Order: sequence, then structure tokens, then C-alpha cells
Amino acid sequence: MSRDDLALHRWLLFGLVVSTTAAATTRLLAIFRTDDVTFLRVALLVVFAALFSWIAMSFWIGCLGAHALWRRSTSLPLLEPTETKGMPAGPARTVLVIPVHNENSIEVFVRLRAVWESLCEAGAGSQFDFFVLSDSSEANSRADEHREWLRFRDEHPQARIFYRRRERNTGHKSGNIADFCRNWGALYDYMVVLDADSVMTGEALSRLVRLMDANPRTALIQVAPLLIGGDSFFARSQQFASWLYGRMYAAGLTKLQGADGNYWGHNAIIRIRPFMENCGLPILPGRPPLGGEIMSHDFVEAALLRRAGWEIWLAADIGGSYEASPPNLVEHLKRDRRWCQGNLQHMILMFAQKFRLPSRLHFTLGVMSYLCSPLWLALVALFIANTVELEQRATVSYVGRYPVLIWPISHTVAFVSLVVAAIVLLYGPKLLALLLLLRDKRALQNYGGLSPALFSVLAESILSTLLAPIYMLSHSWFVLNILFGRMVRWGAQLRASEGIGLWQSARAFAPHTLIACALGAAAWHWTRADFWWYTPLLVGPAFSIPLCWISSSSYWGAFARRHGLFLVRSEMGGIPIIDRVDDLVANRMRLAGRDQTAPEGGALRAA
Amino acid sequence: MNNTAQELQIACIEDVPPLEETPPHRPAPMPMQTLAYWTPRAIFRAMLRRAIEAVELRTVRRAAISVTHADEQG
Repeated sequence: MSRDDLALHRWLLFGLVVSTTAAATTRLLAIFRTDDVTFLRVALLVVFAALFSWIAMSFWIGCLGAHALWRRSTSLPLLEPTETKGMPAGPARTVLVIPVHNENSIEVFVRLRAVWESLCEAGAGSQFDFFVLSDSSEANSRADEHREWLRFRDEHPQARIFYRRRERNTGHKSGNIADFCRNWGALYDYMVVLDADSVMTGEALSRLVRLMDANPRTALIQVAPLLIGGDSFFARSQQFASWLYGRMYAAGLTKLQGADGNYWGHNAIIRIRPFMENCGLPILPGRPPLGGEIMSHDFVEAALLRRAGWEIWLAADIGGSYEASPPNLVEHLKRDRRWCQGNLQHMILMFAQKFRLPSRLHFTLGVMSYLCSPLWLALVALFIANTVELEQRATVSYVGRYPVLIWPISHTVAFVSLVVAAIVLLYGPKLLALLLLLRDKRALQNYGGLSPALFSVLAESILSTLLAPIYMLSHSWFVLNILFGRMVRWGAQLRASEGIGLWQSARAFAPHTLIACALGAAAWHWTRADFWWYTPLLVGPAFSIPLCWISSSSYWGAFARRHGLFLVRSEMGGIPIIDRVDDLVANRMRLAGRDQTAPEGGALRAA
Repeated sequence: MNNTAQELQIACIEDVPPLEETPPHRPAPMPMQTLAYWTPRAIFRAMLRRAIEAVELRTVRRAAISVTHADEQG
């Protein structure tokens, strides 16, 4: 991918997004032009254009990715010396850092063990050190971490695995890593950051080291992780979407970003020297939640590296990178609440001097991924207000004493065409991903075959349609809270597949249900003729309580799996590192069950 | 630190300093980065600076250039 190709892709995307948005907005403008142009309609047009450009961009990035995958041109334009291809990594010292904060220690160390074994199989075990960086505050977690670490060392004496604990988690995850860098960073050339639920294969890690060796201007290579390990219906649907659609979007982003890539916080290799020189995070002006310590550190670190002239790449063609997904809707939204706060902090960074334009765009996209929810809510409210205004308009006006009938003009065809356009933009990429899958018979088998893949895409589309308005309401609430200064603590994330009880689900989603019922009643009362237009928005939130309850259940997850729904390659076997993680977890759980009587076994009790 | 000592630390974890089993520290700085923002004042200053630079470029200065007249002699 040359510099010209990159510019071509970027201008192409810009042109396509602008023209798609302009076409849709002028269509809506044509509808409004037959009536009066009021402030309400101008506001509606502006919000509509902003949201339409958002989904148009997502659609065209997907198309670009599909095109790249179709032509099988996803490789990075990075040098990789041919003589070392498939060979172990070079002499550079690399450290895998795993920041943990009150995590399930058994699972953390089991994954590390699988990574270590995979590295040894790739012949690169001796070039990698492991650092478990604990910020855990709970006594049980700390004791478990120590015990699991000792167990790891005893079982693998040749592994260089270190354990460091901080009393205070100053700066959260980024502070944890910065503390490591200040104390031990100078010992290493590269650092691979893994989350507590991350897994990477030895082959992928070795390849990353070789790429860094061969490309001295590259400071960071991000590998897109695929979701694994989901048991619940919700987690498995997310997992399926990540496997089928994720690689397409990653390929599209790779084509657009070039060396202006982004950092996603984990499953990435980082050149330590430029990271230490340029990524000491500043404190943002103002008070939390929008000011103070930077929460979503990864985007900022990427922007700082780019500011200093270093290259950052997203590797869409390197596999072997995995992470777990939140087990249920409540945990997913809890994570979104934290990310929302972190991303909204980036609003001010969009106006920081010396950042490159692509870095500003990364910030903007991160902010928009949450701001689009209140905008969508505003669009719905504006449409309802517009409809109510039209309904209440007198059907007769007078010229002097003579009545003049106002002929209503039907805009149904125009509206339907806009809705169809939006549906194409939202669901088109899913169909493209399916077409790509149908082309590759071997890959299709990883999804259970043709019928299971088709039904899975259909089921995922229905579920995501139901969930989208729930996210919209929740994200709007998050944004409102953050703008009013309410902040959230950066706590540990629940990663285990725990179902949610009906009561817990009811407590979490009663507001969504009430809002949907109230909006439905209002729409039925004021604009009965248009009521059915609003049903796709109302059904999800109205049934959010049972939806969350059922989708969090491992029973329904297993039921779906038995019937071939949401199957992915990691569940079909054949990925040694994931199979190994599963085996190790099963073994440890069996041991835990046997040792449960041991009084000091915090981790075992947790298991 | 042997395993027994580590076990002891784990056993009474809240009463002991943090356990560390790491390579020797090699401290190195990681300086905090500074950011300046595009405030209205910063934008005005930048525009002013650009304007001054542009004026300076356009200024014609008297220059004394020595001429050898070597070409006229031949």
C-alpha cells in the first residue's frame, strides 16, 4: 500500500460518505420543502445528516474491508525479512505485561500458561519475559495471584515470569504500565500488553517481534483481537459478530489508516523507548469526569506517538489474537459506561495542538460512538414533534371569507426510500461478510456450514436490532450523567459467564421498559397512523428485561450451540491455544473442586 | 527470597510490604507530556505570528552587492 493508495482510499471514503449523506439529506429536504421550513425541521435535517454520515461511514469502511478481503490484499506494507519468515523471533528482548486488578487469578494464569507453551512451541520462549502487574486491592485476589504465580513458576521453572504488586493503583491501567516502564522498561526492547482476558499465540507474538525488528520507525502494531470463550446467548452472539464482521472492518480500517493507526489498549506490541519518551500521559484541564487523569489512555498514547513521528499499524492479517467478551448485557453496559467517560474526555484533545489529523479523527470517532446515541434519541423526538405538528395543522385555511382546502401530500414513498437506504447501510456489511464466507468453503465449515451460518446472521441481526435502542437509551443516560459531572469508578470487569436473575434484570432495565411504554403510548395517542414506524425502536426496550435475562443465560447459549447457532471456529476446535486454555481451565476447576475444603484457598473458593 | 519466605508473606499479606520478585530495577524517566490547546487566544496568537512572518517576507531591504566588473574588461 503506497502513499498514493492511502490517499486514494481516504478520498474515496470521504467522497462516498459525503455523497451518500448528501443524497439522503436532500431527499429529506425535498420532503420538507413542500411544507414550511421551520426551526424544528432545520434541526431535524442537521441531526439526520450527522447520523446518516455516521452509518454511511461504517458501511463504506465495511465495503472497503470486504473488497480487500475479496482480493486477498490485507497484508501490511511492512518489511518482513524473508529469511526469518516462520523462524523464531530475533535477539530482541520482549516482555509481556499483564495488568490485573481483582481478576480471577486462575483464569489469568491459565491463559498465561497457554501463551507460554505456545511461545515454546514457536521456539521463542527464551526471548519473552512475563510481568504480571497487580493493582489488586482485595486481599483474596492478592493471595490468589501470589499462589497462582508460585504454581506457575514451580510448574515452569524455565519461564521468566515476574510478579509486581502496587499498593495504590495510581493512574489506573496506564499508571500501572507507566510504573513498570519507569522501573524495568529499560531492560526490554518491546512490550506486548495483554489484558487479563487476552490470549495471543506464540506464532503471532514472534511475527510481531520480527516486524518490529525489520521496521525501526514503527512504534506500535495493534492486532485485532477476536472474541472467545462466551457461554451465554449474548456473549456468543457478540463472539459470532466479532469473528464474521470484525475481520472485515479491521481490513477496511487497515486500508484507511496506513501508518496513522490507533491503539486499542491491549493485544499490541509497543517499542518501549519511544513509548517512554512520548507517552507520559498529561493531566487534562478541568475537573473529572471530563478533566483530570486520562481514562481511555490508548487513543492518547497512539496520538502522542504519531505526534512524535512514529508509525502505528493495525495488522488485519495477523491472527492468533483473542480476548473474552462481557458475559451479559449488564456487564457490557457497565464497560460502556467506563469507555463512554474515557472517550468523552477526548473531546478536548480534538483541539490539542500538534496532533495529526488522523489522530483527531480517531478521537472524534471515539466520541461520536457514544454521542450518536443522544443524537439518535433527539432525532426520534424531533420526528415525533414534527409529526404531531403536522397532525395538528388545520386542514382548512381561509382566503378572506372563502375556505381553501389544504391537500395533504403523502411522503410515504420518500420516507420508505430513506428507511430502505438506512437498512442497506446498517445490514449491508453483514450480507457482504456472509458473501465472503460463502466464497470460502473451508471457512464456512468453521461456522457450522451454510444453514447454521445463514441462521446465525439472521439471529444476530434480529438481536442487534433489538439491542440497538437499548444501547441508545443507556448511552444517552451515560452521556447526560457525564456532562452533569457524575463519574464512575474504574473497577474490575466481570468476565465469568454468570447469568442474571430476573430481579437484577428488572432493576437494570425498568427505566428502559417504562420509557418505551410511555413513548409507545404517546405515539399511539398523538400519531396513530405513524405508530408502526416506531415499533422497531420500541420493541427492544419494551422487552429489555426478559431479553437481558434470557440472553445472559448459559442454558440458552448452550441450546443455541447445540442447534448450530453462533458457531465460530474457536468453538469448533482446531485452534490449539484456545483448546489448551479450555483444557487447563477444566483441569484447574476440577482441582479447585477437590481442594475446596482448603481454608486458605481464595481462588479456589472463587472457582 | 525462597519459597518459604514467600509463603509467609502470602499468609499475612496485609501486614507486610508488597512482595516483589522481579529483575533488578533499572529506573528510567517517562516524562509527562505537555499539551497546548487551540483556545481562541491561541488561535489569535498563531494568526498574528503568521501575519508578522508574511509581512517580514514581503519587506524589501536595501542590500549592497559588490560587483567586480570583471566581465566588462574583456
